[in-house]
This record gives sequence, structure tokens and C-alpha cells, in this order.
Amino acid sequence: MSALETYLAGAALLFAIGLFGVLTRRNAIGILMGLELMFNAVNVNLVAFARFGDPSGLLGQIFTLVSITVAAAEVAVALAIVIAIYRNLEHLTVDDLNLMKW
Amino acid sequence: MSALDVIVALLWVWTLAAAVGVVVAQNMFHAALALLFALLGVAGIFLSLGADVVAFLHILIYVGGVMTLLVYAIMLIRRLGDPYVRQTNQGWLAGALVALLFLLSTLAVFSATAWSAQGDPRHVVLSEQWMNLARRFLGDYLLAFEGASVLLLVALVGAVVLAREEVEEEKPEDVV
Repeated sequence: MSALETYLAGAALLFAIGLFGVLTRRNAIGILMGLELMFNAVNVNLVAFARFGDPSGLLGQIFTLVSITVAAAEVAVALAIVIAIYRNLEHLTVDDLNLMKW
Repeated sequence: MSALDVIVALLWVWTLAAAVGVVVAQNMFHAALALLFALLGVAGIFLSLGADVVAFLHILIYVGGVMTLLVYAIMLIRRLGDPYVRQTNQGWLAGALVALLFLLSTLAVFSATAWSAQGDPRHVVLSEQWMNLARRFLGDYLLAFEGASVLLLVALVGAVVLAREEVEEEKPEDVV
């Protein structure tokens, strides 16, 4: 098992754990945390590919920096939505958030 | 097996253990704390890959920004801090099955792929890394840089608008 594959396996495991969290958490914050784990797994993959597969070693890091920025923006908006939902509905259980279903 | 390999293995064990804590912790505060440790572990993994700049920015943005927001949200929402409210749904078996299926298919795909290792394992000093990244960001990848800037601005304004308390408009009383 080469060094690259160690990182890929670890990142796949991290992504799977995050996926499990997204699927099993009841509240929106827990789902968000699982999502963060999945984001991080992808970022690790990008940096690992930059390190072992790209001669310049920079493209993957640039991707990662942009993806970290987008993740930060996503968390800011998501938490604002979470707080707005909680203020209006007094709960965060995503199974019961069917207000916009028709 | 060199010393670096041992450190990388320990970092992975640390990160994955913390990640398991994030998804199974009953108390959401504990989950947030575990997420903090997982993020620090990921920063260590970035360092082990020679991506010092990415590791620094990762700590700055995730540990400094995202974690603060998450902890604030958990504190604002009363029922999340309550350890006696169940925080997971009934579908843990299906969830575990889907996650396992994803893991196995991913492992199968990349172990069947012949990766060509053509990377440059030479470690670049930190100041040079900053220079290289800054040149790229303000050169070839300017569009991505500006796009991220605009996205952050929009997200900040959007977050403020969404989370703001509704202000009651003062209506003149003789309208009725």
C-alpha cells in the first residue's frame, strides 16, 4: 500500500463516518457537523493528490483553499437558517421540517 | 516504516476516533468538542502532506470560525444542549449500511486504479509556499479568488438577513 493510498483510505473512512452522521442525526446541527467531516475528507484527498500526483504540487492546495472558503460560507448561511427555523418552529428535528412540502 | 509513517498513522487514528465521536455523541456539546479534535487532526494530516499554508488556513477558518459559530448555535438552541433529548433517528442500521457500501465501493475503485506517482516530495519552505499560492491566486486562478470573495460577501449579508430578528413595522393606527 503506497503512501497515497493510505491517505485515500483514511479519507474514504472519514467520508463514510461523516455520511453516517448525516444520515442518522435528528437535528440540523448534527447533520451540519457530519457534513463538515465529509468536506474535510474531500480536502484531504485533494491535498494528497497535490502532494503525490501533481508535479507542481499546488493545484490541489488551491482547490482546497477555495473549498475551505466555500465551506465557511456554507456554515454561516446554514447556521443562520438553523437559528431562523428554531425561532419560528421551536425545534430542529429535520424529520418534522415539512413546512415547505406541498 | 519510518517515524513519519508512525506519526501519520497516529494522526489518522486520532482523526477517525474523533470523527466517530462526532457522529455518535449523545450530547451535542461533546459532538462539537469531538469535531474540534477531528479538525485539528485533519490539520495535522495537512502538515504531514507538506501543505503548511493549507493547514494554517484550515485551523484559522475551521477551528477559529466554523467551530465558534457551531458552539454559539448549540448554546442558543436550548434543546441541543440537553443530554436527555435523543439526537439520533431510528435509521442507524440503514445509515451504517449506506456508509459501509460507499466505503467499500470507494476502496474497490481506488485500489483497482494504477496511480502514477509523479509528485514532487521535496518539502517547500513556508514563505515560498505562501509566495507560490499568492502568485497563483492573483494570476491563473484570479477568477476563483474573486468568486470566493463575492461568495463570502453574499454569504455574510445573507446570514445576517436570515438570522436577524423580525422588526415589527410601525403601522399608523388609523389605517383600519
